Amino acid sequence: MWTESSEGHKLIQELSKRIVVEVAPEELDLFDELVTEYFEDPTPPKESEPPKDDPLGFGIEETLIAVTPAATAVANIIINYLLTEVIKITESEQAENVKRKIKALFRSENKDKDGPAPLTKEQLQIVRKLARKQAIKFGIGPEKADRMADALVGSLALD
Amino acid sequence: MVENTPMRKRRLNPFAFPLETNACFALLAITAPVWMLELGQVVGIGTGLIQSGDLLATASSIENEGVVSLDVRRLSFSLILVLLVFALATIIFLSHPLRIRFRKGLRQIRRDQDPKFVDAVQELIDLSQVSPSPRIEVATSSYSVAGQAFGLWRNYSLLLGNRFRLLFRQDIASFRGIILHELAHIANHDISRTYFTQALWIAVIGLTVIPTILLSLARLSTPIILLSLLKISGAIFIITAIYSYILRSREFYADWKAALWGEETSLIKILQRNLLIKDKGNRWTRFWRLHPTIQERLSVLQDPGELFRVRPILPFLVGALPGLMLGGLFSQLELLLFLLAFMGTQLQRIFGGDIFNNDQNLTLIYFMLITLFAIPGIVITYLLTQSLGFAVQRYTIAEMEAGHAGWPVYLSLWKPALLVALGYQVGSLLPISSMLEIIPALLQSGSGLFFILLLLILLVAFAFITWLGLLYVSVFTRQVLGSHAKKSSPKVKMRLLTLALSGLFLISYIPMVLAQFFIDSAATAGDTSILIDWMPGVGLTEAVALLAFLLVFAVTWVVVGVSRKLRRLQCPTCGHATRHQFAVAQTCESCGNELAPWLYTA
Repeated sequence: MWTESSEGHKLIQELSKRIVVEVAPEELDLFDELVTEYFEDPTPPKESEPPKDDPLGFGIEETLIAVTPAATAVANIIINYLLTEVIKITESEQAENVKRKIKALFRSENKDKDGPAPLTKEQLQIVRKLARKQAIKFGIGPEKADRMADALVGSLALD
Repeated sequence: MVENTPMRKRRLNPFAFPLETNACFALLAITAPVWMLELGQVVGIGTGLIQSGDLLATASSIENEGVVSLDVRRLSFSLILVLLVFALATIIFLSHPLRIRFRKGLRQIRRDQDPKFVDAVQELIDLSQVSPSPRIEVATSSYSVAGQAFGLWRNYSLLLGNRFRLLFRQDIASFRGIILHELAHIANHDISRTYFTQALWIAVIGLTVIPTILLSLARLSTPIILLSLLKISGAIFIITAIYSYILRSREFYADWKAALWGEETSLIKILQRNLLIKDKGNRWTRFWRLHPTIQERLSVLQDPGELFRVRPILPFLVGALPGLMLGGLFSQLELLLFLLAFMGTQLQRIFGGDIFNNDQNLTLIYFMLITLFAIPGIVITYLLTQSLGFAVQRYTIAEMEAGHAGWPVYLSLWKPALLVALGYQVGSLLPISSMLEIIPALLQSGSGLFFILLLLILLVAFAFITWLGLLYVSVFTRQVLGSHAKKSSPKVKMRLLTLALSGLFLISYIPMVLAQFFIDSAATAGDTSILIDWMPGVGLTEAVALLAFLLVFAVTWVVVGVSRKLRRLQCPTCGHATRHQFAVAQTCESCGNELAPWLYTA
C-alpha cells in the first residue's frame, strides 16, 4: 500500500497535523512522538485497564486518549478511501499521476488546471462519516470526533 | 473584645500527630525474624540439619548438675537463618527499582527531551521540598496517567504513566495533584518502609514458610498438615492484612499532604470523576487492597476527622503481632532455660550459698523469667504504644474538638482495648507450637471448661489492663495536649505520654504473657499443679503492676495539675492570657484566633 511508504506516511502526517491544529493544539509539542507511536502500533487503544494496586501508586489509572494517534488513523483511512476513489475514475493514468492528484486534494497551493476534480458532496459525506467512525474507534468522544471530521473535510478541496 | 466563636468551621490537621503507622511498620518488620525462628526450627529438623531438642533432658540436667549444655548447632542454625533472611530481604529491597523499571519499561525523561514538562515537575518538587530531586521516569508500556514512587534512600524516582506528558498539556490541575501525591509519599518517608517491609516478608515466606509447608506435606500425617497449614495461613492472613492496612492509611496521608500543598480541589476532581468506576473488589479482598476506595479517599479529604477515629483493625492487628512473636520466642525454650541457668549461676555467685535450694526458688525463677521477658517486652510494648497510643491521642483530641469529654470518651476505649486482647489471643494461637490442636481434646476432657474459663478470665484481664493504659493516655491527652496553646505541634509531650504508657504496659503485660504460658503448658500437659506452682506469683506481680499503675497515674495527675495551675494559657497569636482551661476548640477572647492552631489546617 502506498500509505505505508514514507511518502504516504508524510502525507498522513501532514493531514493529521491539520486536524490536531484545529482540535487539540496542546498536543503539537508531542505530535511527532505520538505519530510515531501510531505507526509503530496502529491498533486502537484498549479501554481503561483496571488500576494496578501497586504499593505507593496513585491508585487510579486513567487512560488518557490522545487526539494525535486518532487523527493519524483518520488521515490514514481517508487517504486510502480517496486512493480507491481516484483510481476508479483515472484508471488509465500512471500511478505517479494518481498520487499527485491525491496530494493535491489536500493542498490548496497545488490547485491548478491539471488538478483533480473536487470531491462530490456525496463523497465528502462518506469521508466525514468514515473519519468520525475512525475517531470514535480510537477512543475519541462523539463531540470531538465531529470536530475532527469537520476539520478533515475542511482540508479537502470543495466544489 | 472579640466574641468567642467555637462553632467556626475548623478542620483537623492530620499531621498534628506523628503517624501511628510508622510504629506499625516497625512492629511488622520485627515480627518477621521472631516469628520465623519457630518455622526455621521446623525446616532445620525436617531437613536433618539440626536435631530436635529434648527439653526434659535439658531441664533435668539443670536440676541435677546445675548446668545446661546448649545445642550450639541449633542456635547457630537459627542465627544463620535470621541472617540469611535479612540478606535476602536486603537484596530484594535493593533491587526493587530495577524490577519496577524492567516491568514497566521505564525511561528517564531528561530536560532536553521536554523542557516544559521537566520544569513543571521540578517546580512541584521544589514546592514539596523533597531533596535531592527524584528522577522522572516514564512508563512506555501503558497509555495511562498512573503514578508511583519508588527507589532507594536519597535516590528516589517518580514513575509516571506514558500519557503524563499529555496530561500536563491537557489538564494541569490533575497533573499537579497526582505528582504531589507521589511526592508526598517521599516526604512522608513511605518508600523505604514500604519496600523493605515487603522485601523482608517475601524473604521470610521464601526461606521458611514455603519450605515448612513443603516439609509438612512430605512428612507428616494429614491432621497435622491441616493444622500447620491453618496456622501458617492465619499468620500470613494477619501479616498481609496489616501490611495492606498500613499502606491504605499512608495513602490518606499522601492525599492530605498534597492537599496541604494546594491541590485539594484537583485531587477531589480526579477522585470524583473516577467515582463511577465499578469497584470490583469484594468485601473480603478489600482487606488486601493497597489503596482505599475512591469513596473513602474522598470522605477523608473532605473531612480529615475520619483519620482521628481508632479504626477497629488497628488494635486487633497490633495485638495479634506480639501474639505471633511470642510463639517464636517460646520456640527457643532451650535458649530460655540456658539463660535462666546462666542468670541463676550468676545470682549464686553474687549472693553465695544455695539460694535456689529453698521454698522461695520458684519465686526467684519467676522473677528471672520476668527479667528475661522484659528485654523483648520493652521493644514490643514501645512499638505497640507508639501505634495505639498516638491513635488514642488523636481520638481524644478529636472528641474534645467535637465537644465530647469525660467518661463517655474514656469508656468508649473498651472497644480498642478488647480488640487488642482478642488480637493477642488470636495471634498466640497461630505459632506452630500453639495449643490450637489441643482445644478439641481439651473441650472433651473434664478439665477443659476450667482451662477455657481461665483463658476467658485472662482475656478480660488483658482487655482491662489495656483499657487502663488507654484511659491513662486519654485522660492526660486531654489535660496536656488539650491545653497546648502553641503554633507548633506538641510532639515531645505526645511521645512522653506514649513512653509512660509503654512502661505501664510493660510491667502489666509480662505477668499476663507468663500467665498465658503457664495456662497453655498446664492445659497441654493436663497438669493443674503447674498453675498451683506459678499462678500466685503471677497474681502478685500483676497486683504490684496495678499499684505501680495507680502510682504513675497519681504522680502524672499531680505534676500535670500543678503545672497547669502555675501558668495560664496564652494566645499563641496575640499573647493574651486567656480564661479558657483548654486550648482545643477554643478561640482567643482578644484576637479571635485559634488557641490551638497546631491542631488545624490553615
